[in-house]
Amino acid sequence: MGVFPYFSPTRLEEIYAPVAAELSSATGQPVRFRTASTFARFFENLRDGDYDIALIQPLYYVPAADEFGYLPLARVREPFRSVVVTLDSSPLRQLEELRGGLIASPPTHVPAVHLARQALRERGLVPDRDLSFREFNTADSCLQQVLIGAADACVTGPLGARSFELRHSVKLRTLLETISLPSLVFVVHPRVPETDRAALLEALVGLNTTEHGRQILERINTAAFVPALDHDYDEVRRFVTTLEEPWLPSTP
Amino acid sequence: MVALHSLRYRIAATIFLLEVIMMTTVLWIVLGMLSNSAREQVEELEEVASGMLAQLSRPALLTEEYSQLQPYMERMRSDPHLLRILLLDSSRRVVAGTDLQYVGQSAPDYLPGIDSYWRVYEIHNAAEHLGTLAIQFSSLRIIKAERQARTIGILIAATGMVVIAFFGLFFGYLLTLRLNRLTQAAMSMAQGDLGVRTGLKGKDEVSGLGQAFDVMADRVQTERNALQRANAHLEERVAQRTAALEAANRELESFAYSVSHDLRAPLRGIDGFSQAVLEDYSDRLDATGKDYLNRVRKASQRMGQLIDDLLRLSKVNQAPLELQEVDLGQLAEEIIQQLRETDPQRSVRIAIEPDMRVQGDPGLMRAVMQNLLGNAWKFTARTADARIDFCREPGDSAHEPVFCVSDNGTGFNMAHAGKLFSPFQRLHHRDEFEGSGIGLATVQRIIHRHGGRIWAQGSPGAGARFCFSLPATHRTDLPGGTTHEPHNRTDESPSC
Repeated sequence: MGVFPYFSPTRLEEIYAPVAAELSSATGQPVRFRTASTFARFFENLRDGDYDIALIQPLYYVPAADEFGYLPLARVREPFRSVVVTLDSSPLRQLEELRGGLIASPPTHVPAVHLARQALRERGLVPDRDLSFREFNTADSCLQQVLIGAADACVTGPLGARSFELRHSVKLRTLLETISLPSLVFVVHPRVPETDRAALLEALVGLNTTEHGRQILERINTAAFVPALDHDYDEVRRFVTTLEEPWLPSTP
Repeated sequence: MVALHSLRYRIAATIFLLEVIMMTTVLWIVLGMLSNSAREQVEELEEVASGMLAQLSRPALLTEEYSQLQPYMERMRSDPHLLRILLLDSSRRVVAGTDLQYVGQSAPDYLPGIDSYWRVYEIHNAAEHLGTLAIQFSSLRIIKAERQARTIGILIAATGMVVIAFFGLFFGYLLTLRLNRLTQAAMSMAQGDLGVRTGLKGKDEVSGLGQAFDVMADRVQTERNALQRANAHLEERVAQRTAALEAANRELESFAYSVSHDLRAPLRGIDGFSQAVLEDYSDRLDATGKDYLNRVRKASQRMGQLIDDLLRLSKVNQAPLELQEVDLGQLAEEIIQQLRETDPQRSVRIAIEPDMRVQGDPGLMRAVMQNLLGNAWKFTARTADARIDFCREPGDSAHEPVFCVSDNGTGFNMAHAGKLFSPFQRLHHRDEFEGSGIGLATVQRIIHRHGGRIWAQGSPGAGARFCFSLPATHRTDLPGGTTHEPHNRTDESPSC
């Protein structure tokens, strides 16, 4: 089971190793949690079909399903959107005040960045012209730049922002909220037998039925997984056609 | 060697011995604690290093990307205490490590070396066993830490022991310094210096002893002064009493001599005129008158003899002893010869042992022999086969030879032996045997003046035996000291 490296490997392990254990239990076969050190490496592994199961960000679903043959399994029930936040104590009150400012962001391969850049452009703030973007490895490090005053705002997901507020006891102010897209999705490689796929789906969807499962879902910041259908991601397919910047990592 | 037996060194040695025991115990405990502490510190460092390596290894295992971990592990080899690191995946295959030759190989045995040991950490998560981190550490760090702790401990203990040893010596010196003062004072006092004092002050035991000594010395000096004063007074009184006694003695002897001497003149007159009456007027006196006059003469002569004996007795103590060698045997021969001449009709067997030499006053020793042999001669007068022996006996001590005069005469009852040597005491009636009763008293006084003893044995009808001893220190010829040809000048051999 490969997980899109939106956090550090060890943090992802804390969150998703229990999921792997649940899936092992459901299928009766060992399911190992794996991730990658970079988005590019993960995407490369995904492309190469190294993962039997993969949790990917919604933009990756398009090539995963359309090019690599992965099948949708289950997705996070809540839609995904992006926010631009700053500290509540910051003098910035309006999005326009970010003009000329510096926005920290996760790597550009994170869909939240694409949503944010697209939304800013739609509001007349052209990235890399009216304001600067600086990439950091994770959403946490991006928010940390705002916390220490090294950046004016940060692009992240709402759940990531909320988690950061809780962990650091700070309050963030949202300057921009983008449109919603379907969120993280589990895809399965076609080589996985049908029966196992059904068992995997049942296990994922049924997580919210047990206390242990709910604790796992809480760490993922979702209430439940729901069955994913391919047409759920047509909206994503349309969105990526609008993007002006590269949205997939370059792989060898 | 003597110094080593002194209290100072004993105290120092005792303190040092206790210190050695204490230091050894403390050192043992401290070394154990330091060693454990050092081991724990090393183990903590190893835990920290191992934890960091495990934290670094976990992402590598999760991502199965070891390219970044490998150079880091190789750099860890710069730590001399970290000999080898091996990271194994879940299939027990080495995926990263300090030694590239192990990468891709199966896991080795984690055998401990002489100076090394392995720590193995299994890396798990909720879903699986991710892999194994095996680290080989060098024991040198622990050994070095233990050695350092031991060195420090021994240095501290040795320093402490030296300090305590010096302290013990100094303490012993302080204590014996005052004891020496006490000893010196005691020795001075033993040599007669009663004015010496220790002068020790303080409240400890040694000071208490010194103060007690000073108090004792004060009392001894005070009492000795009082004793000296009493002695002086006593000597003065003794001298006074002696002078008084000597004066009284002189007066008494002068009186006795004067009385005796003055009595002789009228006695001679009584005897002379009685003889004159008997010679010039015998034709006018009847037999009774003559008898009375003869009795008067005998009484006056006996009284004259008594006076002579009294004078002799009083002179015994007056004249100083003139000691010289006297042959008692020869003296006895001469006296017996005189007795035979005086009483030639008697036949008495005499046995005198020759060569009986003593140190004595010749005149007084003659008086002794005259009395003893005269008594024997006298009290054997009625014995048919009279015999008199004079010989030397061994006595109780070689330094005090005993000489005995024995006879087979009338003898005496031992119940009255105590009276024999008292003046004027007689065991026989005057009619039986003549005598004044002063002879044996004179003999006893002479023997006592020579430092000897005299005693008598006898039984009625079986004879008497008078023995006297004289100190040999007065003798010049000890028995066997000189060769002397015996000569038999008697008609019998002595039976004793």
